[in-house]
Amino acid sequence: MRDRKREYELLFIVSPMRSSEEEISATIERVSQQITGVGGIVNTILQTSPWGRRKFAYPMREYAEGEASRRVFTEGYYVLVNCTLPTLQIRELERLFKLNEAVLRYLLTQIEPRPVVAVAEAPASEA
Amino acid sequence: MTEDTRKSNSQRRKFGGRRKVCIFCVDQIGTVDYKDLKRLQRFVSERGKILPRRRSGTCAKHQRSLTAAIKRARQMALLPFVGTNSR
Repeated sequence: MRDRKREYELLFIVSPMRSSEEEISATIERVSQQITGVGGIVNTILQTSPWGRRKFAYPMREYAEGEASRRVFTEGYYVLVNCTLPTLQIRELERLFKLNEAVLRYLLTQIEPRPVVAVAEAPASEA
Repeated sequence: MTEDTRKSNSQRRKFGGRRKVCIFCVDQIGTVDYKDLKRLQRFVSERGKILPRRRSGTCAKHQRSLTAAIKRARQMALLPFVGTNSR
């Protein structure tokens, strides 16, 4: 199989259990190292305005380190990462996120190339 | 189109208002972004339900993309699964 690279967008929530500034930057550092570790490139990391510390739309129950039952969380620290990843490494990367205690939840989505915009702009430049 | 279709259209619209135009088509959005909360919030009811096409006026293509976006936003706790006004 050919190992293609594609643009992805990763939104993850840092657990409030690891909410000190050091721990947040350590988590971001760890995630970006994992991305480069599987052969990806981190393009941008966003944690301002809509992201960063943010209340959840609903209380979520997730397992916390060393606790038998799930704990209720009402807020978290959101980080948005744009990256280029080798498509075959997505599974491995997701496995690492699941193992990472500091990552409460994550969402990895593919950024679609926008042919609509390109088509709309092309005739304008020609004319 | 032909006069027949126009006539039947106007007859159907006797009670309702004018036909809504898909907002995403107007704004030339290809796929709906789950992070675009301001837009998404207009397409969920007070209880957090996804509005049907007959109320939102979106075209079929964007409605599919919209539901996916809302569900993604729910997973990341950006939108509620159940609304605040539930009794």
